[in-house]
Amino acid sequence: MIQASDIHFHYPRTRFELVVDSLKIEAGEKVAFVGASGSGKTTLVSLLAGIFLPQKGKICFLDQTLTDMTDSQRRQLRLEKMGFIFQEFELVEYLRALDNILLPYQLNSSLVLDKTVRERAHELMKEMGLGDKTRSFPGELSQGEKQRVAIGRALVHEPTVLVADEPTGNLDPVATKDILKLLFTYLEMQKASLLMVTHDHSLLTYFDRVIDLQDFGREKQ
Amino acid sequence: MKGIFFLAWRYISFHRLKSFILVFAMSLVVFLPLSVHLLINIFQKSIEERAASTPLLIGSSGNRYDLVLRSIYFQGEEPTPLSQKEVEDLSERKGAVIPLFLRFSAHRFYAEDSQEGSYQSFPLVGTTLDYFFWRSLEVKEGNWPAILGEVVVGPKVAENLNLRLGDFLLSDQQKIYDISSTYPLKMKVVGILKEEGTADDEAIFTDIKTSWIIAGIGHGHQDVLDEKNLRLVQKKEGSDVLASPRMVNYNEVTMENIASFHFHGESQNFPVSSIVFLPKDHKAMTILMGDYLESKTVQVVSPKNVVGELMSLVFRIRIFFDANFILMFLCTVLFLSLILLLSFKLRERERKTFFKLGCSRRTVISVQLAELFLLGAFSALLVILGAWGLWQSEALWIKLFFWIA
Repeated sequence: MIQASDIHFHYPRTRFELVVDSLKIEAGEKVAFVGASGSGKTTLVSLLAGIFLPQKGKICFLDQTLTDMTDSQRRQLRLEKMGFIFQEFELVEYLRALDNILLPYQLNSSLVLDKTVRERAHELMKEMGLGDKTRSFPGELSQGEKQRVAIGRALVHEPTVLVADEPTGNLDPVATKDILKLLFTYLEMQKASLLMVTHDHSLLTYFDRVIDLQDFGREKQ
Repeated sequence: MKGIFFLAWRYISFHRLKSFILVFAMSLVVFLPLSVHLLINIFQKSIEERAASTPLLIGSSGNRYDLVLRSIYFQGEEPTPLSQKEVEDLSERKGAVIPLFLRFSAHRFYAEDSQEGSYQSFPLVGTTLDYFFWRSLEVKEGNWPAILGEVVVGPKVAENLNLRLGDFLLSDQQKIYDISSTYPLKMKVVGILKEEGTADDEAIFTDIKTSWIIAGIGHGHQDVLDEKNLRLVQKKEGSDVLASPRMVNYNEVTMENIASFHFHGESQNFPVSSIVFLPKDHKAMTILMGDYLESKTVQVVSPKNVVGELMSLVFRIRIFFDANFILMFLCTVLFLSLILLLSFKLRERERKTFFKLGCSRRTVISVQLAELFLLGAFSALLVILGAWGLWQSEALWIKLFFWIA
């Protein structure tokens, strides 16, 4: 589903360079990205999601070459085929929980926000135990609830791949397990892949594959 | 587009106080100069129309602004009066003459046991019937004043004092501590004028002779020469009669006592505040103005010109206001820009999230522009409402202008 080859990426004015000779992620595969801080976990995931473009190399997503696509085409692809979960949840403070879940539909006119989608969002909230929080603002939710809303936002448009950047980093162990269980249940249901950045090695058993970024990062020549 | 405005609206409604302050500040900075312009235009329109319809005004030498404001708008100080002789002299010229006696005001008269109690006063205009025909005034109810002691009131007077035909008005005392002054005159409302949207709506009109009675020049009392009242005669020498203080002076003109009302002194000396002269043609007007050019006691003014002078003064003041508003506008725009820039910076994370989710930079900026658009739209709405309010309270503002003038 995702294929990367001969990737070279560096941020301007830094000596660090991320080099990936070859990487392949199958449909439905759950992959964890681990490594020390600054090893390039988030960078790699961002490259695979088409947020950044490498200076060199080729990345394919569902038979489409991301590196050949325009910025607008990549954005469209992200909105339609990918879901994102962030460590800080990144919920929009002025939107109610339900509106936060439906945010991808507000941001993109190609996603049609109809009655079915609304019902699905309501259903999703109920299943996540947020049935009574649809009208709550993020400021009124607990950390766990916020993360569940963020997961709802990532899943509502039924993406092919879910990109999660340390989604449990701000949660306690109990909440972490609950969230992961929930996440994996939905991934199974939607047959979606997961690319998850994590520091927590105790979670690695949940994944089909673990990629250690120590193998990719190096000093720029 | 719908999604963009949805997000913008959500942001505004979530930050209600911040949005309200922004809307209020933006509205104020537009509304203040706009309202000054609007008020001046309202004032100008109202004042100029009426002045232009009054060809010439004759009054005593002195403040021409007082003469015009009092004679046309019934506001301000009463000019030094002329005498009725001027009216008679002018009557010989080619044109119509309308005398105005504008010294008094009146309020509603209540029966002793009445529970009502509005003592708001309105100007009392003593004039002749010609005034009504010249101004094309019509009575909505009742008749024109036909005998002494009768009045017609403007529709605003009727409304404010809750007057109906047959109700009474009482002239206001000029000097309440002067026990030798005449008693207030009780006057009957015999007509209510149709609304014209002019100063006439807020005035009370009576025959000039009635106002002379209020001035104490004319009066009515018991006939001391009547055989029944001989006890009231203290002394009689030829035609001179000295009456007893017990003699009853009438403070209301009725059908029973109207015959007893009479005037003392030479009618030529009776006061008039000003005279409206409606020349037959331009030549008559020019001759009249020329004749009075050298007069040290009487002035002839064209109200249109006087009002023009007054307005040019107002316009000169407006320049200072405009300069002040421009500076204030610039300061506010700078402050608002600073606030928006800070807000933009504070929301960088939100923009990054939108971008990561797949939103274009253009859409992200569009959301924030839509917020600005909505805030601007609310401000515009507030300004329009304010302007409408000003327009609706036109009469009140004109009054305020006169009060300031």
